Amino acid sequence: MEIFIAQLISGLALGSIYVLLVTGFNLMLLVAKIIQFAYPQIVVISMYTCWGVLQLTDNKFLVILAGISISIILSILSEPIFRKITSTQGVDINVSFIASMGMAMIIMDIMSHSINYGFPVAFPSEWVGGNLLRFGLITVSEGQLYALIGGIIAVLLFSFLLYRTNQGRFFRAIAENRFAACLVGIPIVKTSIFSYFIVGVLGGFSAILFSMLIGSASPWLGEFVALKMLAVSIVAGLGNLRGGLVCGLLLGIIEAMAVGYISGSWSNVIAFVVMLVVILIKPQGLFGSKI
Amino acid sequence: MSEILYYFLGFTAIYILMGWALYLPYKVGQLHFLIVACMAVTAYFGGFAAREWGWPFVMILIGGIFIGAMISFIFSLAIGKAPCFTVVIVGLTSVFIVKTIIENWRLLGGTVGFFHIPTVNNLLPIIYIFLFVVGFLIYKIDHSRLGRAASVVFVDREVAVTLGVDIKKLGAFFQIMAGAIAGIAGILDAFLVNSLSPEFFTFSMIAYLMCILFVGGYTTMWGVILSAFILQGIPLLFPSEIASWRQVIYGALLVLIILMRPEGLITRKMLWRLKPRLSYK
Amino acid sequence: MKKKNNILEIEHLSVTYGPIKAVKKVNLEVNQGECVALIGANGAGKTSLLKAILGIQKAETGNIFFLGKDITRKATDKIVSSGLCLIPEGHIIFSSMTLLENLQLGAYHNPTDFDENLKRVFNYFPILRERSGQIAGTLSGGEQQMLSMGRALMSKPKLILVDEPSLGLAPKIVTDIFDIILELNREGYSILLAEQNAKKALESSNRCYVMKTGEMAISGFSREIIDDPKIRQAYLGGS
Repeated sequence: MEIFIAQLISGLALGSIYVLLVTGFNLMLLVAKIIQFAYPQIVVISMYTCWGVLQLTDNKFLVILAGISISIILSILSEPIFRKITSTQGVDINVSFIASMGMAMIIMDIMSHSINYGFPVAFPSEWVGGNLLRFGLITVSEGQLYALIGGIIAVLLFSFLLYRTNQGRFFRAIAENRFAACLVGIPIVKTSIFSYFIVGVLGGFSAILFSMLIGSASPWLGEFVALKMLAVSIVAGLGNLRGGLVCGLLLGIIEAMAVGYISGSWSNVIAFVVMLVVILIKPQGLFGSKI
Repeated sequence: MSEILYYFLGFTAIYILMGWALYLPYKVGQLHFLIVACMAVTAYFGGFAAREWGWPFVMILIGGIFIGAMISFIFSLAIGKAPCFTVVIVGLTSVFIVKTIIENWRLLGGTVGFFHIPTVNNLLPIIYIFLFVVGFLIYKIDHSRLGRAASVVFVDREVAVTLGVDIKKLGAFFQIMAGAIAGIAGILDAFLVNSLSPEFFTFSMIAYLMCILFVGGYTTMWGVILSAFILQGIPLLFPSEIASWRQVIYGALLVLIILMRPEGLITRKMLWRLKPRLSYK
Repeated sequence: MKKKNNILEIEHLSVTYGPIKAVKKVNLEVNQGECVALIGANGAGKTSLLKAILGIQKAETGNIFFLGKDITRKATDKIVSSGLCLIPEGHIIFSSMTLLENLQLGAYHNPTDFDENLKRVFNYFPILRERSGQIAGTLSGGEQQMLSMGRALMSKPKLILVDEPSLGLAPKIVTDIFDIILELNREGYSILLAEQNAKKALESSNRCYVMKTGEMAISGFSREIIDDPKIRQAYLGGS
């Protein structure tokens, strides 16, 4: 029973990260109408940035700032590339996929080469928060707590943005009908850029929580996480934010259960096989595609 | 023949085959990454059958084609007419699953690798014979009703349906052909290097194949030939420090070609001017 | 340079889609307080013209002046900001958002007096007040058209472009909509109305332009055009 609860919490914490990643990815799909394949790579490089800054200073605030900034910068830098692509060929999602795949390759290789000679890096323990806290039957590591609480806060803030602000209404209008949004006078380009900015913020935030949760980073982490994020987004239904929330958490739990009861690398395979089967049976996703 | 030239010619041919395997389903707009999984499975099958069971080469080839086609066929039942993104994810996931299975299966050498695959005489000529046969087949497909139907589907699925195209069957056809070609490529690869490693059949190969297809030109079969030779050959001319940044160069090439010349190096217009029968628009 | 004291002035405007010339060197003007009708069959170029005014479609040649300023190459959202808005054909609304949110979208370009504008819109369309929390997708066709118009009004525009307001709606609702257009004009809104239903359009407008295959065929005062049997025959298909 204790294993079950421990794995459940672990799964929820990991799931929170997946939820944040899928949400950022979906936002790009819905508003910018692109597939940002490189998004997980941007998150990993933010993690590396945090690690780098941690080598220089102890100031947690600076580290967080650096991590989020690099994510925002990279996201916004990619905007003109996608804008050029989507303007010349209409809003073609497949072309954006190819371009973002190229970007992912570049970022991944840079990480493999120049940062720590391609070896994984470990975060110092003050950052990771390895202390265990007990609440009755439940044992939680600080990192897991941060991931969970951080995830909840991020989702709440994001929902507030989406449903209670003007910009959020613009996002939803563009997501539903880009042409009509233009007709009504919504500034499409400005709102698009803002969505890249928000995705950058989400990405940086995910990177920080992720680094606290797992305490290390490696170049191929991006590959792993990218695949999981993409699979979750399809299983949930492309562009479906609520679906992404549920499926992200579910994936985290399934993975954690597999790790707890079966050995290491098979847990990944199980997660993927489950997702593969769902995709093959229901290609539209469990909750329906929104694009 | 020098070793470098031998492997250059051999690998280029194999990558042309894989490039074509990626090219065919993309005619209907699907990026069928499953071919890398097919290649991995048949390569290990070929190596294993040769080393452990002593199967003759011809039998292994036939087996490889069959396995590749079968894998693709089974998946095509579900993703025959799926949107590109779904096909991509299915492919990526399968590649990952296959890779992990190989890594954890001691019988196949696991992460260390699979070695001592027996050699085959005259492998290079055999590879090129296959190259010409497959190339001829693809040429025929391109210039047939299937090829024309595919181009309609690529542009607008709904119009294609109104014209009477069965999208699922067409998609399945291309996927199965691609699987079969990948099967051949896998077998040939196993015997070319006489050893295998799961590190080979990964995301990097998918990225490399994307480069070959899109830099060369995805609208015709000739682009793949050109870019395979270029992308295999150029690293040989550069010192190894630059060569180790290969991935960045491939990634940058991909982004640049999409931005500046989306149809790739060899475009339909170019072919039409050179010789109208090569192209078909 | 002629002093432009009208609300909208279009000079020699051409709009092409590749080889197709949808609008050929058209001239048009709307003065303060007028309701001007733009009549023509389907495909005559009315919608292309309206899209060009709004900057959604690029103008090949010619100029568009709004309140004396050249808006020919301006971005759509800047044009809407300056007080020109479009009620598009087909009652375009955002069905996933609530009625109120749709109206809030309209108010973006004129956030001051939000409450006042909202009250006014609800006065025109009382049924919207009842359903303000409802998801817009659940409204009927006529209600959606009213929502579309209400959204345009939230920004207190100086010129309203209306594209085919009667399309796809039952005759009774069409009458209601045109009554509202008349009412708006009486209150001082300047309106450019594109319509296939020539009779209704002429009844509701001061002046009218008739477009035929991209060109401006005739223009004049609506009352005269209604009464002229020759014009009716040639351009309006009898009755």
